[in-house]
Amino acid sequence: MLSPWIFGFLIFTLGPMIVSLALSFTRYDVINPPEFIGFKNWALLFSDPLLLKSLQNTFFFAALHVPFAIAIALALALLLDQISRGAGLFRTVFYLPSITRAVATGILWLWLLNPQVGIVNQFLHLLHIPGPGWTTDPNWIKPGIVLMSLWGLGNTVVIYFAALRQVPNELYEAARVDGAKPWAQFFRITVPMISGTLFYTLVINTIFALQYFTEVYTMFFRGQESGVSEDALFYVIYLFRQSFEYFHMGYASAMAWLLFAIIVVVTLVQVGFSRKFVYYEGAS
Amino acid sequence: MSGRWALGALIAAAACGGGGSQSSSQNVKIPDKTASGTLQIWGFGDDNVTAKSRLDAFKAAYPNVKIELTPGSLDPQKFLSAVAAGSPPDLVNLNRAKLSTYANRNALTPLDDYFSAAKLDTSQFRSAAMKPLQVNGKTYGVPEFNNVIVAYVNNKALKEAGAQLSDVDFSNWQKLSDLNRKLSKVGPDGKPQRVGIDPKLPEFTPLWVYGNNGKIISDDGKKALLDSKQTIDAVSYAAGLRDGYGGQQAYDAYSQTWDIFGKGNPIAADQIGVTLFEQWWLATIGKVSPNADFSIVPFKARNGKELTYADGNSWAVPKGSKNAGLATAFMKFMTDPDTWVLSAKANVASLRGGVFTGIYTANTKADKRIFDEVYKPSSKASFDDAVKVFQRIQDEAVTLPPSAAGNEVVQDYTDAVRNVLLRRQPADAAMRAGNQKIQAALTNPG
Repeated sequence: MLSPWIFGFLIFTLGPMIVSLALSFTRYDVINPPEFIGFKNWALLFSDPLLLKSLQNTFFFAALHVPFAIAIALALALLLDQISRGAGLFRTVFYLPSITRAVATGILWLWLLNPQVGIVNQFLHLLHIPGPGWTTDPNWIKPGIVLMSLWGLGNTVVIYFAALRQVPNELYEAARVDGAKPWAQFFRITVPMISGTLFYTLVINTIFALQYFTEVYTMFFRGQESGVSEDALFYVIYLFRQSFEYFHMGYASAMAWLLFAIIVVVTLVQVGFSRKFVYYEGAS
Repeated sequence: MSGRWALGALIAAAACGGGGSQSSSQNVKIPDKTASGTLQIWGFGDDNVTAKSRLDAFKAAYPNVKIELTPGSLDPQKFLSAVAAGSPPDLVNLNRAKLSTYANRNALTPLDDYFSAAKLDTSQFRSAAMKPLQVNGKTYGVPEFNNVIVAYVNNKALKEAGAQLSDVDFSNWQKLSDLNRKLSKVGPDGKPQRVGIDPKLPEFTPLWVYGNNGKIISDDGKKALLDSKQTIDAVSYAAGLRDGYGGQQAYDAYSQTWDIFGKGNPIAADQIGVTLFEQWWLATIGKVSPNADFSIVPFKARNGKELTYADGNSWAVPKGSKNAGLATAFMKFMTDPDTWVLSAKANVASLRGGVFTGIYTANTKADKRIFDEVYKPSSKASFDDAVKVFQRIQDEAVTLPPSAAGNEVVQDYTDAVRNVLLRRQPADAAMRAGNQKIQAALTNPG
């Protein structure tokens, strides 16, 4: 039963990973044979200022995106869990942005976030808040991208909604009998009971944030000459540039492995913390 | 005895070798119009009249050749993978500035022998268009289109500012700064309501640099020259024009709202006083705003000489192409004056109330015939005067020399100029940093 999966994994995942590890020790432009250069690409990783900048941008984005994504998706799922009439409609409405093509999302948000005529700043203007330069001010470009990234939370909402439906109603009834307030019910029952799901989405959203690419590339890097310098240069965009614009496949392979190592470390740290905070039914 | 045999064998081998290279052009076969087969072309679509009319003409002339198109810009990832795998398309259409990057990596076929065999006269093409296609002494492509940069002047704004067309003088920076102040409009909220003079940085950095007698890289494509005084002065001055209407961030926010292709384009909507722009925009304005009141003024170098920067596309044959001969026949046909004239006629026939402003083919003979045989003045001064300027400056064009790191050169000067525009670095520091990056890329392109 497993053999097709193992075959696919070896050919399409493990095999390319091993090849890319080997390529990271070479100078390779796809056309000409790879030339072994030892650890030069790896050494360059630690002296490339643009790589450092792209890492900073990516971590900044992940640090904002992940908590906001979890909090907002959970809030929406709780709302969905409360309503009975029109629940199907709202579920569809919340999910729709997730199936919008990333390129379309990028172009749409370039307009929504436009500092001069964008709907976001017009809304802020109604509240007498001066809207920032979401797409032009180096200090606001990344928060603007975070705002855009929260548009596609439908998947996470659906996952939370399913998890909330699994929480036994008896627990809430018992809590109410004991006089527990809604907040106490939320923190003492809901959160522990769906902590496994919260942990799963934490890991998935973190990996998603560290690999964020299409929307930002569409917004700011479609035309090479009109790019917004390095303020929106995320790690995977820089990797793409090194590989498919400059054809530095060896260096790009080293970059890919660095990102892989970062994701592994971050995930292991999250798994370590999860042992303290995640409740698994039936676990000892 | 054995020494003599060895010497004889060497001479024979040398003779064979010489004969081989001599006969390499003789061995190249360019099929005639009875040829059959399939021609796979990437980076070219038939979704516009200029392309479709030429393609239809080729199909009529070569009825047994099947054409398979992959439209859209050439995808570098797909292209290089196909070349590496030994299954490339027969022909590609790509931006000229990108050709040297591929040629330096042996992804393209040198075409000198094919051009000789096909009797394709490359001297008919404009020199600025051919220059990026000649890499390490070999020719790798045929140009099509010569897209030059000019200044579009909003006459309404000019009148309102009490200025004359002669004030739009890019050789006189003081005069240009004064005009920028007069044309710019900034609202009480500090947001621009009209951009006075748009220098179009960082895109058109090379034009400003060449105009101040500077260079981005040396002519042999090996040395970075971004840190010269001429380059620093040019970037510093041009970037400073943005201060006249609130700076770079205000400009970005405003320009992101412009409708470049529609009826509300920045000239028609009075959002720009003067902007540098490519010549193709004239055709767009001709279609969507045929009554727009504007003038075209050529850019001028500091010495007063008219100057422009040219780019465009080129045809090239990938390494490993199985139909290089037929591909050469196709290239020759598509860039032939007869084909271009036919295409110009098709463009005129397809106009619906718009203005035909000519086709600038990069082929001098074709351009002459189009303007002699097809083009007719529209009696709209803005367009007719513009066409005269375009024709006049076609041969005043400069272009970046080919290099092994074409994409990185563009990206690095773009980043450096962007840092100046955002006031992150003074021009001299930004250009020095950019120069180091470009030099590193040129020295070690792999």
